[in-house]
Amino acid sequence: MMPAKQSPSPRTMRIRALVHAALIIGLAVAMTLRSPDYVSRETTNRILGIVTGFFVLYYANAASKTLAPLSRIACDPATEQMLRRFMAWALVLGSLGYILPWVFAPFKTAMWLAPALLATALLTVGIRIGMRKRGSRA
Amino acid sequence: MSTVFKALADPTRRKVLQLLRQRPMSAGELSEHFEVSKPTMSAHFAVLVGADLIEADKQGRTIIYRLKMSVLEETLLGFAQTFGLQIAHPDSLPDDSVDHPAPAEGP
Repeated sequence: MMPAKQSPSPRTMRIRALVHAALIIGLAVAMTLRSPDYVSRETTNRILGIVTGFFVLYYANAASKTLAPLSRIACDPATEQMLRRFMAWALVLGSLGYILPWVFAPFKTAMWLAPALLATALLTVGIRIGMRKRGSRA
Repeated sequence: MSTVFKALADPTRRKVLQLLRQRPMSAGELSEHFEVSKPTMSAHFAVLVGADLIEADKQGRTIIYRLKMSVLEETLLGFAQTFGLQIAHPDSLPDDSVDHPAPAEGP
């Protein structure tokens, strides 16, 4: 018999999120203090961009799963499930779009391309939710 | 993660997850799509709940199952479905819930 897999409690998730935020801030401060003597500014920005993108990817991947309890307050469970999955997929793809330019693109291109791709993903989610609301009013 | 792989190893469970992608469904609605007994379906649901891939919500006398998968788990489901993964594993179902076909009678 397989042991049941438990989702982390909301308290555990909040602590985990705070630890992750502290890691990002700590890494940003440490690398900025070391730059440009030990690490170039470009490398600093690239590493911070990749790390930030991975954290967005981590939370986006779990969004559809961790937001599942909220489906009980939705009036249309099928639509709520569809929107939740769409949001998670859009943010995962957006975060991958944020990471890849920092890894492969020239620095000046990555500076605008990475945020643009993530913003596009967020905009897509907003438009999809807006379309759903407009459809429900019709 | 091993519980997720074991849950996705069975084609019946993969089909349950694909049905739940459309909308949350009751146990009865899901069982209509399969030609297996209700105890066997219950065992499959238990494996999926145990792997935290679906969530059961009791509404009166009906149990409604809803999808609870991360993007990575949905991707794994897609790969498993595309490549037809099927692992013969003794833990894939509890022994007492497996439907054993009647042995063929000799000439």
